Amino acid sequence: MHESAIAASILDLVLHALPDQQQRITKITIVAGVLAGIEPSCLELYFSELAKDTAAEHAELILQYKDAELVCQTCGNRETFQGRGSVNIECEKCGGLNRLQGGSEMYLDSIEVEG
Amino acid sequence: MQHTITIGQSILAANNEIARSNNRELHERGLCAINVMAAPGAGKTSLILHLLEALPQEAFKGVIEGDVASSVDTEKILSAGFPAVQINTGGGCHLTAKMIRDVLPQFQLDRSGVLFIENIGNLICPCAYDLGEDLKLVISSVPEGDDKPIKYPKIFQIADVIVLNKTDYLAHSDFMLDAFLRGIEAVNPSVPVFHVSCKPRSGITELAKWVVEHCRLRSKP
Repeated sequence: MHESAIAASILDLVLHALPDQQQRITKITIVAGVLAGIEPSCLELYFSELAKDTAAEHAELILQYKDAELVCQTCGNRETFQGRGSVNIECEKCGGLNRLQGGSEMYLDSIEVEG
Repeated sequence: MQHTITIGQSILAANNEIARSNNRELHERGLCAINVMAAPGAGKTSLILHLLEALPQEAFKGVIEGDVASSVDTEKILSAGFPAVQINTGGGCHLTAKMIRDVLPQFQLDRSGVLFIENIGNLICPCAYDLGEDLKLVISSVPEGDDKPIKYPKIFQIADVIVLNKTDYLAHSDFMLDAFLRGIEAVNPSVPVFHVSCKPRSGITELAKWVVEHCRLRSKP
């Protein structure tokens, strides 16, 4: 997806969250659902460029993925969907139709600062 | 000394705040905004043109056109006699709430009605960016194939209404309607699906009726 825009939003949020501009951000934890479409290496590339000469310049970007779920509309069976491969629209247990849920979140969870 | 600060804030918080503000402003003026999303060439502009003609005469009807470049679509809307404003992103793959906010003053929003927002042709990126719309209308066309709901689940999942366009091609393709509808049911059960064609005109009246009903319901103050 458009990781440059996402990286810019993250940078803006973390710099605003910093209590003291003399501090340095060492870690940034992002939670992204598998359906949010964030590619980690693209995000890191753009972020490292944008963060140059800022308090987040050397921050490690940690991406925690949240799976989506396929929930059977007939028997309630749950399967995880990790964003790649086919969407199994049929329940592996009863053959009923599944429903795709979750996996869309995209938020800044926390930052680690020093100084 | 290192310490952790918990934040828990949406990455798109800034966009979403502007989107809410856009929505409030449009509602204050009695307007319903429809975000029209689809792959390039699926028929967004053609469908919008048909809906502009089919919706009540006395209502405000206008279009915000989003493209990477050119004003081809805006010119079509203006030639048909409806107000339209072009946004060129110059490479951006989706519209944002700020882009919508910046062009709203270019319209004379003097009565209630419908504002269409034709998003950039793209089945992926527009998903994440609310613009302040009341309805997300997603178009999929027969020539694109019946597997789009399972290949691009997110956009079909968030749709308030799905339009299958170019149904005039059904007789000439191996598009399996059952497979298409089943894919939609897996990602967005109970979403209304309209089957239309623009040339020749078919199914537009029913879709226009649905738009009128849902705009009236959603934009009640």
